[in-house]
Amino acid sequence: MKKYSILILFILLGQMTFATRVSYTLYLNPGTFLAVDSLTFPAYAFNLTGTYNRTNAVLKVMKGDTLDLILVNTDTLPHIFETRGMGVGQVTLPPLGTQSQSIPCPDFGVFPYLDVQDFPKYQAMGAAGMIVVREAGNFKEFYWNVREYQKDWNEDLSLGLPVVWNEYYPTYFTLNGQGKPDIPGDATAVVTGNVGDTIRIYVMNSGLSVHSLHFHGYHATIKFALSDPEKTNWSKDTVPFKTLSTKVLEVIPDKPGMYPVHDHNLIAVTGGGIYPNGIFMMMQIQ
Amino acid sequence: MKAKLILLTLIFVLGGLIPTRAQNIVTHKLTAWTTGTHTLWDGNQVEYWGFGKGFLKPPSFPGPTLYANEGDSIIIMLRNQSQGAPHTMHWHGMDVNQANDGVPQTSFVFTHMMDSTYNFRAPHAGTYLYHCHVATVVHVQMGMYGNFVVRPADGSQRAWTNGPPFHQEKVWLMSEFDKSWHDNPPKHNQLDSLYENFHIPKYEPDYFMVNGLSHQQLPDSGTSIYAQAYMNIYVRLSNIGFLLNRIHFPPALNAQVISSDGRPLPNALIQDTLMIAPGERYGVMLHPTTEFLDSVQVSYLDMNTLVPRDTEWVRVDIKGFVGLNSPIEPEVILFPNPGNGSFSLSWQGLPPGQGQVECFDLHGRKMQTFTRNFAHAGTDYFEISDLTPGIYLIKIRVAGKEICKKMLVEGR
Repeated sequence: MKKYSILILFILLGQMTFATRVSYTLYLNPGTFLAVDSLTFPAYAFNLTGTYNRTNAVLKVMKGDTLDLILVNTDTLPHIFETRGMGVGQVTLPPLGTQSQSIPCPDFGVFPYLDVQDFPKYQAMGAAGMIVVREAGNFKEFYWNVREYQKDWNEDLSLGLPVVWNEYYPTYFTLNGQGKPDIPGDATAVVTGNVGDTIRIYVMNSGLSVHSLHFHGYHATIKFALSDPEKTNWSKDTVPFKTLSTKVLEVIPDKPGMYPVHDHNLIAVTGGGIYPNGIFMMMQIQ
Repeated sequence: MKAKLILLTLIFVLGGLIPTRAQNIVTHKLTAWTTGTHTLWDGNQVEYWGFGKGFLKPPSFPGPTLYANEGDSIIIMLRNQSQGAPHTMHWHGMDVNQANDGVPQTSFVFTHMMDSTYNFRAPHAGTYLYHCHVATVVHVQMGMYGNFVVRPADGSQRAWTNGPPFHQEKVWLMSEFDKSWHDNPPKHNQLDSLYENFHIPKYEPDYFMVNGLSHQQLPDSGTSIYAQAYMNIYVRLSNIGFLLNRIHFPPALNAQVISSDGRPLPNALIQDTLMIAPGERYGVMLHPTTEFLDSVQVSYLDMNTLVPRDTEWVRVDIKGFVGLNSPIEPEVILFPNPGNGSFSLSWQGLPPGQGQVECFDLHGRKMQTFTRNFAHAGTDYFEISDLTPGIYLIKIRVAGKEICKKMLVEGR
């Protein structure tokens, strides 16, 4: 009897996942965005080093973990760090200052973080990323942060000039900070896998526009939707994303092939007014 | 025990030999053109590119709605008459294999005077789109799109196989035109290259359409809802434009959103406002319980600012009650008219039963007869090949009722 009890205890322990503390140092960096047509403009991003990189960092934890953040502001201006859907407050970041925040992560999903100083100024300039709270399981995982930029706005905003928010007309459309010709080099974004794999894609719209992602070849099941939870478990081939909305999409490919995923606001399949470009990638299923 | 085992084995073996459903083969013939002319609500004419139903049949805008039943084998036969522009057809949402996906880089294109064929199986009953995927932003804006409706396997008037039944069905395809693109297409010459980068102008749409029509063009087009209280009216909504659609149903329609992108929703939504992003489709079941006259508002919102650019009003006229002697006369709408010989009929108030739709020329010669089962209300599609331009009479006869409509067939 005692032998069986020990055995059961071991089995139960084996199935338990242990909550841990996951630490990241997140830098808010001003920098220069290099667009697909080689034009540049001022921008901001949250990175894992103190050097500007146009790809905002993905902060990954497991469900139940606590996320310990050290927030470093490398800018000479003040900023405010905020997460959405995590149940914690804002953190004020003084110029060149450092702060910390601990965030419990009890729920599975994707949650935005962003700079809300003079909102939505710095979101428009690029400073918004995602916290991914994963579930245990055998998944192939990919991360898409889609957004857009209006070059002259970034230039005006960086000079402290006003912009007319309802005249927004962006011309650069990116996934993880990159347009079509560069996306294939991003292994965290380009979906690869085999027939029968369970593929999970963590998606966030960090821009101001609405994006509408269309899958060729497969339907995706919405496993999590932050701002429209009524869509959970819907099976869709075209998934809209409002500003700062997030979703976890699950695709289980039933056939091999190369299938595009792209924004079906087809204006977003351009970059600097040039087609093809923008939010377009190819899924590769063996 | 042994007898039960033998019986089960027999059922299993014989069950495997009996086909669950005879396989249908559905063939659609289409022709791609870059020479269409469409009349806008203000009388302006705009050039468009599009698909005609039938070999060498002139294009319609939007393209013809194609139909099949779930599980059908579909053959699409295409001819390109585009004077240089290559095209493809992408079966949006139908999850076809790579070879039939219509993406130039991974599938195939068809060039001028070339015939091509797509083959695939009709997926889940639902609402889908097709569109050209060559230089997509341009070819879609120029009008190369249409709806594909997959009905349940038995062809019944249900939202999906064993899904909720409906009396009447409407297919609404929303899109916009930026006329400046049509007056001077960003990519429209005989040297069109598939993979060349090219500049596109700022998108500033000035015409906002439901099924290619706006404003005063809508009421008599077959898009309007003419129905009776206690009918189930199933509206298939698709957005192929580059703006966000906001659909507002009058509360008296008791709108229920029941499907999206060709799949039933796990949780039907009871709501009278629905947002539809580019590429999305929704199925909405309407169930009025009273007589009224109103409109469905279709608004077109900027994707960047959510500022409404336009609102179109689709008429809703609920008269009479299902199951009672109807106070209204049977009503039949024929569209498009003028057309190219292929047409749709939308009707209500007809006595249910088998009936005939006959086409006569002005000399009284019968050109073609169709036999159909008519529900009290519904919509159906009819295709007549090789009609020369002119005036024809379409006679609908069902259960002692006879209605005649005039149809103008235009030359290309």
